[in-house]
Amino acid sequence: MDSHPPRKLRHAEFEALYRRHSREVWAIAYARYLNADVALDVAQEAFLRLWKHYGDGGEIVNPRAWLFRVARNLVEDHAKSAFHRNGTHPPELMNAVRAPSELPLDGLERREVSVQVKQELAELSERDREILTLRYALEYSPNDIAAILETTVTAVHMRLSRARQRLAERLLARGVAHYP
Amino acid sequence: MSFPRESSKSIDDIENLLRAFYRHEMPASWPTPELTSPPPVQIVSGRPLRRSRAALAASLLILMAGPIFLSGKFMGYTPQNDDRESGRFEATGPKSRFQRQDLTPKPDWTGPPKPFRVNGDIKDKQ
Repeated sequence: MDSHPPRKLRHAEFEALYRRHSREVWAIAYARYLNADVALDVAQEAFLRLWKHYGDGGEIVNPRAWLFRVARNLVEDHAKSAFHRNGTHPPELMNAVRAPSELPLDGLERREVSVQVKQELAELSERDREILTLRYALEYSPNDIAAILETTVTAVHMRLSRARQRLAERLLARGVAHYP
Repeated sequence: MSFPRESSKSIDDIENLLRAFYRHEMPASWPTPELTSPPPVQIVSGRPLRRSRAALAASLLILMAGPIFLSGKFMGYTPQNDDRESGRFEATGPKSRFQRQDLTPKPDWTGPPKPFRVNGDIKDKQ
């Protein structure tokens, strides 16, 4: 007896989940490693695993939490392997060049500021980075962030305020006043 | 432009900076999932299961019916003397190197206990 939903339903369910949560998974992965490309790969891999899980007939009560857990584990694995490749510094902190096609002269200042912002973000706790990423990359409200990260709205407000102040002080000390 | 405290202006400034930073960091084009093939469901067909069950049933049937059939074959058979004679077995082939060897330990000495000397005197072992 086959109790699994039909494949078409699975497909539709999966696509809905991807539309709803792919950017969130990206944000969680990005907050850990501060590398947009790695975060995108991790998000794709997390959804691929979800698809395989569905293919094996698995059931997930909370797909969002499942995806976040998988993404965090994947980023952790990547960080470990990256440590063996690059030592203690992730490559994007040593070198902000992402691709040869993105090297016009007018983008150099932006890249330099990016590196500085990343360096300061790296000094924050991972939870603070998650909150900042969800807030400013995805424009989520503190209530949404609290629901995603399973914490209180007050804690989100407090962490946001503290992280912003710390970033502002440090970036000002570096002479970074705006994003070019 | 400065952000010494969380004044409204400083909040706006750092928020604008962070928004611009994350906007630049996020992928420009978000990939869409290309799931053209169905999920890799392991299709369990009923055929192999039926086949193995049939094989199992046949094996059991043979196992149960075999002794009954064979016992019926020899009903009324009385062994003859010739049968016992012909049942004698003799190994006539050459000795193989794999021939079973007698591995039971053999005693080194089988005679009566010999006397032994202690300080020049001959004493019995017992």
